[in-house]
Amino acid sequence: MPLLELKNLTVGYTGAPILQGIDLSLNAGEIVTLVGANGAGKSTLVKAISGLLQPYSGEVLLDGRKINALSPAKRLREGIAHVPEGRQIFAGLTVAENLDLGAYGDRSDAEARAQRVAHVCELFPVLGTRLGEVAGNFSGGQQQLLAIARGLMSKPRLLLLDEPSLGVAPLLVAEIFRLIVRLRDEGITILLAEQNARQALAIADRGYVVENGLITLEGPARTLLDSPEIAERYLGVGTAAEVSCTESARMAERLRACIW
Amino acid sequence: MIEFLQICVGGLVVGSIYALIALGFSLIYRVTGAVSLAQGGFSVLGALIGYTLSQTYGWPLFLAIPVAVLATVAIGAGLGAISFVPALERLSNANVLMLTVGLLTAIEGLCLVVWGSQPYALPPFSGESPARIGPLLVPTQAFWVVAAAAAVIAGLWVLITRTRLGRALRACAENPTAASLMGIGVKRMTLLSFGLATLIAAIAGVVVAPTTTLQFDTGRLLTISGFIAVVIGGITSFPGAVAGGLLLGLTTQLATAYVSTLFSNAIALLILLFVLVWRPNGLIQAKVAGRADVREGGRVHGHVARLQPNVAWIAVTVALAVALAVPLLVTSNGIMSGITIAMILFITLIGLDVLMGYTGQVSLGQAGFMAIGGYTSGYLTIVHDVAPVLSILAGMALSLGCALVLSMVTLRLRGLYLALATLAFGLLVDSFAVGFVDITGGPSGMVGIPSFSVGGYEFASPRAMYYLVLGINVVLLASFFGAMNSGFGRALRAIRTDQTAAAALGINIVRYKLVAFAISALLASLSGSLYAFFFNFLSPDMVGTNRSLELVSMLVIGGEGTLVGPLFGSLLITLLPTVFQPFALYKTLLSGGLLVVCFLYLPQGLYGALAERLARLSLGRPARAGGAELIRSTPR
Repeated sequence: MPLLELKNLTVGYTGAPILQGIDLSLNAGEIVTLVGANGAGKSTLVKAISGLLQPYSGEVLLDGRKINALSPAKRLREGIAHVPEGRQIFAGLTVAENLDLGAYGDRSDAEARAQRVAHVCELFPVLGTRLGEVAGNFSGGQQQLLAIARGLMSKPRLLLLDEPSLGVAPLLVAEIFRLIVRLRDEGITILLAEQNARQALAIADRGYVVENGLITLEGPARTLLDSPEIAERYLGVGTAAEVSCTESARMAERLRACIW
Repeated sequence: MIEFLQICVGGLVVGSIYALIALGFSLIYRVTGAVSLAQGGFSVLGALIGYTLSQTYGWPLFLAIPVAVLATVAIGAGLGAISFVPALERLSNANVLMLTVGLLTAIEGLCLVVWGSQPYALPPFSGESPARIGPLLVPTQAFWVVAAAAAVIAGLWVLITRTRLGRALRACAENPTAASLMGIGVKRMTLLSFGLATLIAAIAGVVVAPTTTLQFDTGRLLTISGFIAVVIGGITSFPGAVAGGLLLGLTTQLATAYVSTLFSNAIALLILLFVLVWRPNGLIQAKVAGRADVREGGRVHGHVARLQPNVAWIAVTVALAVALAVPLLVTSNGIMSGITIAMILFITLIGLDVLMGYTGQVSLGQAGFMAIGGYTSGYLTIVHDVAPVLSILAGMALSLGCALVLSMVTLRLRGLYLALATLAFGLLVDSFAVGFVDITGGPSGMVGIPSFSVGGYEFASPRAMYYLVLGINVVLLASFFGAMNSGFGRALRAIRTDQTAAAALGINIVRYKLVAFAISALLASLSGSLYAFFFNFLSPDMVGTNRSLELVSMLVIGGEGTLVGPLFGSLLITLLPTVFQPFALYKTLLSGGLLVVCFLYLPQGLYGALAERLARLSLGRPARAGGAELIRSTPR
């Protein structure tokens, strides 16, 4: 049985639906990537899973159990953590306070939480040295790390990462992606919504392509990486570019012929 | 020296109360990003409940006081849950502020209905005889006040900085979306902060009650003082709120003692305006500024339903015919006067609508310009025998001058601070009206203002005055309808919707705001003069801050951004107490309640609802853009 399943899900923001008839499944221990252009509906899909949006119709199943009606807080307790797009850290609070809020729903004692902080700081050494600093003064990349770390504080089974590479320096992006693999190896299932399709598919097990509110393609990440449609539309290479090149080359050829 | 120390002790006591109220403001602001002006109302409510329990039912004070505080918190939390919390999701912060004006008015109205308008005082908690510290005589209640303030400050500090709950409250302030992802119930936290602020306000109310007398509308003064204190100190900082409160308390007490009783408020207000210009974020500022989601922008309007041209002409003709026939149909002089007053106020409202409804600039001091116009006209006609028309023009010129000076402050401000600066202006005019006894007649008012007259014809009766004002209104409406549908009106609405985008389009924001502000000041001044001529009398409370807030209620209840809409609000609020005498007692409660309800459920006011109905009738299908839609754009 998959860890999480979406069945014929239709969802939107109080107006016309943004996503229609979405079927998607996540198996435990996978990295699954959502690939799609800006505005395709990736973030909407992630929000529907974390409970920020209520579906118009269809089902969200966790361990085969319907969780449509659960609030974000309850889903968090069930093990779904959402690291939102644009980081959304608490800028005026310190790193330590941000991390502690990540475990807000956790009723365990302060010591267990301190251990959790220690573990997260091991994954993110840069945060460990700056626990007392105000988070808003960090660079974009460090804020992204903090956002992921904060998401991990609730000991999630499923981590939803929405555009973690957005506005992050390329070197740090590579580090974030390595970290995602490491988290998977620790047993966390990961759903990664990314515009940066090549890097995301490179570390993923499977992928879904979202276009205009529909899932248009799905399959193993390797296959998607190699498929011509993906290469053309999301990887910036492929036949279309070549075609136009040969086209213009031919035009140039004809032009030359005319002149001479 | 002893006298000085004695005054400082008084200042400390008053300052502690201001600091408590200011803390409540700061708490709600830090959690929600919005301001609730209902604070002072809860203080008075708490004190009055305490009075009833201890004096009427004879409960001992140690029982009556805590029960009164808890009862107030329960009422406050209930009111917050049905008004403030849902409003936060739907309204811009400036409109939430206005909604809480309605809440404050409703609470005052409630107190008026239950306790009447006489003043009350609680007995001091520990006896009447003052304590002697060296040469100083200190009333024992002063210790209670200062101790209560210290306890609340310490408690709040521990809660906010040392507990997980406090951390969650701050998280909501920083970023509500992320907070809900962390599993924090943002609505619950909002309500909690509102309840806590109510608790603080109620404590302030019961400890201050023995040192002074409280009546149903004292809350307004407390709210205003607390608001001023929190802005002087810096709303994002608790130490700032406390410092602002103490500073304000000491300043007003010292000014009262050494300068003049009548001008102590004016001095405090001048300090405030100075702070607003010099350090608009207050004396003590937060380390990291800015919330992720500050909603300074105006409420996103669905379009007010537009009538088909032919229907519109019929409506205009019918309306004019009715307006002309009113004096013939209405036989009661009282009602006729009421209608005339509503029409006079409508002149101010047209200007206020241009300023608030179209340009999105909050003004809580519009009656200040009415006062300038009214007093100028009165003074010139009584003392210098100037012709009324000229005196009106003189008042308008003076108002324009004041508006230009004030705009040096207001043009730099938006939202909350703009609201405060205009409020301060209204209060300033108010305190000058009270203070310059020789010119204005002081608190008891200016008597013997002649009726309006032109070339020997005197508009003495309500009916004559009615036709005069009707004429003015028709001319104003016609010209502003034209202006608002021209490039000028579109530029104003662009500024309201998105100031930055408007600037990017090349709209000269400063100029348009200035013009809108000047228009509103001129019209308010004109209306103030006519008001004075109509009553043959003018007193500070006729054109004070209460009037300013009432004008805003009229505007919102009638319908912002519609020009004609405010007339409905004006008629309703002015006539209800006249037509139904028993309603007089309920007027305050009703207008406050109506304001809250309109903000929440009738965003286009009575006129908007009516226009939609008419448009639907004339088209036989729903009006364009679905009328009462209330959408806050959601980021995708």
